[in-house]
Amino acid sequence: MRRALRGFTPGAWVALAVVVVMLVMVVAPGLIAPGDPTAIAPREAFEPPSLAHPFGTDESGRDVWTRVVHGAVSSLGVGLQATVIGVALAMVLGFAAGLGPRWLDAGIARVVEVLYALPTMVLALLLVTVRGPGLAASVLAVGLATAPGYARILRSRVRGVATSGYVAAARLDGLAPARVLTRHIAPNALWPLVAVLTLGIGQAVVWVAGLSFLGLGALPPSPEWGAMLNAGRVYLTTAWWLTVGPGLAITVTAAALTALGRAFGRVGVA
Amino acid sequence: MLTPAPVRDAEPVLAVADLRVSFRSLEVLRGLDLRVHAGECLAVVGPSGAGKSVLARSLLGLAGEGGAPARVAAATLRIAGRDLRGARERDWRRVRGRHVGLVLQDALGSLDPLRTVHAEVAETLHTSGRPAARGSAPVGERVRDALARAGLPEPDVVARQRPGALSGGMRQRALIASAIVAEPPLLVLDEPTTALDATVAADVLALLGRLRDAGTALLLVTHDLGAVARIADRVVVLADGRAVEEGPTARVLTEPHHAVTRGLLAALPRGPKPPPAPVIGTDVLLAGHGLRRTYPLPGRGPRGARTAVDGVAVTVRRGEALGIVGESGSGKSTLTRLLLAAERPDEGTVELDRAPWSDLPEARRRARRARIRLVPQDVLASMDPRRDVRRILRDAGASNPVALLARVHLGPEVADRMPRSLSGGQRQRVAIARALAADPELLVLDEPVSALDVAVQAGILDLLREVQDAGTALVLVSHDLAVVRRLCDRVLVLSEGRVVEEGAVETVWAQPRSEVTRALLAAASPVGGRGGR
Repeated sequence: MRRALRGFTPGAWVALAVVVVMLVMVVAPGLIAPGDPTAIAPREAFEPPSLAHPFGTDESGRDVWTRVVHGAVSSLGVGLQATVIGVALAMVLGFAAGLGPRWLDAGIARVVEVLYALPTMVLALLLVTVRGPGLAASVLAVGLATAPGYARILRSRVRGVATSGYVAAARLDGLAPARVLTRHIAPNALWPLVAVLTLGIGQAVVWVAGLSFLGLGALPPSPEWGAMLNAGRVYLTTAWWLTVGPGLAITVTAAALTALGRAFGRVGVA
Repeated sequence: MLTPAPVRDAEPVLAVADLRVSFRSLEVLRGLDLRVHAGECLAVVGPSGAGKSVLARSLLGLAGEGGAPARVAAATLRIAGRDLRGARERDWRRVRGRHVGLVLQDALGSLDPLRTVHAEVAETLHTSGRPAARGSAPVGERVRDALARAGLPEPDVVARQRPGALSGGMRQRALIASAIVAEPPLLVLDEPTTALDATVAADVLALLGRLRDAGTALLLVTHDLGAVARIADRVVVLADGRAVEEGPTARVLTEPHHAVTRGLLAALPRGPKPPPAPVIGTDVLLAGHGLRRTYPLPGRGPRGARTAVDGVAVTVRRGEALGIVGESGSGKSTLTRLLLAAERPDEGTVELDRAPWSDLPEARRRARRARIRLVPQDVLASMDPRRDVRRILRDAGASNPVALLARVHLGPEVADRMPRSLSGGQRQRVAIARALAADPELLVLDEPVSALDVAVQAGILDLLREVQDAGTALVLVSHDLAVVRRLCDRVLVLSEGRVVEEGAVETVWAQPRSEVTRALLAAASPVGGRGGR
């Protein structure tokens, strides 16, 4: 890891810094924006950006900056959760397909193809219909939608590593299959996923925000970037700052994660 | 023979004077003079790091390729009458293929796996585009002619195949065909036979000899002194970027003047196993009875199968060194896999220490795997790329990696290195250390020295002798008969999956009974004594 960081370009360091700040927003939003994201102040409605309100205030006088910072939990946090679900599912599918018998590999390949064929939004609509709108449905939908991609990468990595010379050597050294898996196959197969994963979180954030924007994810009073965009859309001509704040948050997060993922890929974390 | 007598007064095809090549501040070649005439073969030999490969690449304008930028300077650098001092990349492109052909060691890596042999060989013609030759004969015919001259049977069939379908020797021939198709007057060969087994290497050398007799100038860069003895007319010994000795092959190989040359010759595995005779137990450690293994051939239905090992019996006694030799495809690798119980035989059984071995389920074998260990052919691939040497040795059961490294004569600093950052010789030592980690009774070594130069090779052979003297039995799979003779007590000759000869090494050497053994012995190039053509 230390060796990987040494290969970072200045741009990659900026991306890393942005991601760290974003993570602080998720874990402790109060540190960056101490106010209450839902506190209403009708007298201060529709104030343009100023020193007191960097991103201005919305129709109920709530501070948009505070809401964007506190919204990170729902947007970035949910994006992370969705990715965790996607990767967890992909690990089960990928390792089973990569190490299992041929019929299992073929069966999993079919399941993955079907999942691939369903667009994320259609999957999300399906889940919302079943479970009702809310962030839980978004997490599941995005998780399910991203799993097949990771599963395919993992499967081919696992296959490659499992047939490598060092795994054969470990077997002939008398290592039990479980130890071969944890010591050699899993680390070598999972490591390249770090770069792909970082890229994937950025994508998941965009999807989660998109679902909320369409009203399928977070519900209005809670601060979520996509939902905020949707609420601000009505006032686009009179109060542009309502959409610029959350829009910027989504763009910067996704861009930083993408840049970081590419940097990981380039310095060969893989 | 209609070979015209070479005219030695004519201008040499290759003339080099005071050639200097440096990378940043490091000077790799320090003033080298070379001349090669038409119909002559000049061999360049020397220890690793002497600058041999840099020389070969410099003669094609490739010195700086894929690495640090190189500075090339020379008083004379002429190929086929062309002054190439200060030549630029586009000048070189006109020279390569047309005036100089290059043949590399790694025939598989040098051929594009997705293209047919025809496409690969014809490429040289398209890029070199000789105006004189253009239109003289269609490309297809010239490719076929080149393949035929390179000694490939059925050139029409081979031309349509891809490299993956060819054996190692055929690939090397295809590579030579692509180098000679444009009929360059000079051929630079960088270790052309190192990766080939003895009989195939002998064939390739014979082919090179024919090319030389037909008038091509050859510059042969190699560490294989046997190959040098077979086809080189003159030898230049390189050490540290300088020519330390030069002369006719027979003289250099029999009466070397310089210490480096003497060192190279002394390092050569030669002669019988040095005394004292090892202590060989009477009890059988590993025994295979009636071993048979077949592999299905794809697309041939249930009947089509290739028998890789066909009714082989093997015994290894405690503390003994057994050599297994044979041409490529004779079943050596399959037999080792059966002995290691990496694969189950279709018929027959393997017993370890008079107890069942191949018939057991893997779970019951696992505890006893520490007694029989493998040093694989591709050592680097056998090491987890994410683990350093210390952890690799620990994984294999070593409690004290540094002490184990000392046993294979490596310093403690190696423990913290990653395998890919080690030299070939160091890697081989680490692989042996790893195999010794669990204190096995038997070590199976698959071509342990074939990729190493003679000096490093001699060190590894000494180490293996130490291992045997410490009481570990060895099974050595090799195509190099000199190595087997130097290290082994008994030898098993395989051909087409069957044992064609078996016995004490010196007996087999003195009185080979089988045709295959005689052919292998004849192909193993003797150095000194009868040198030259």
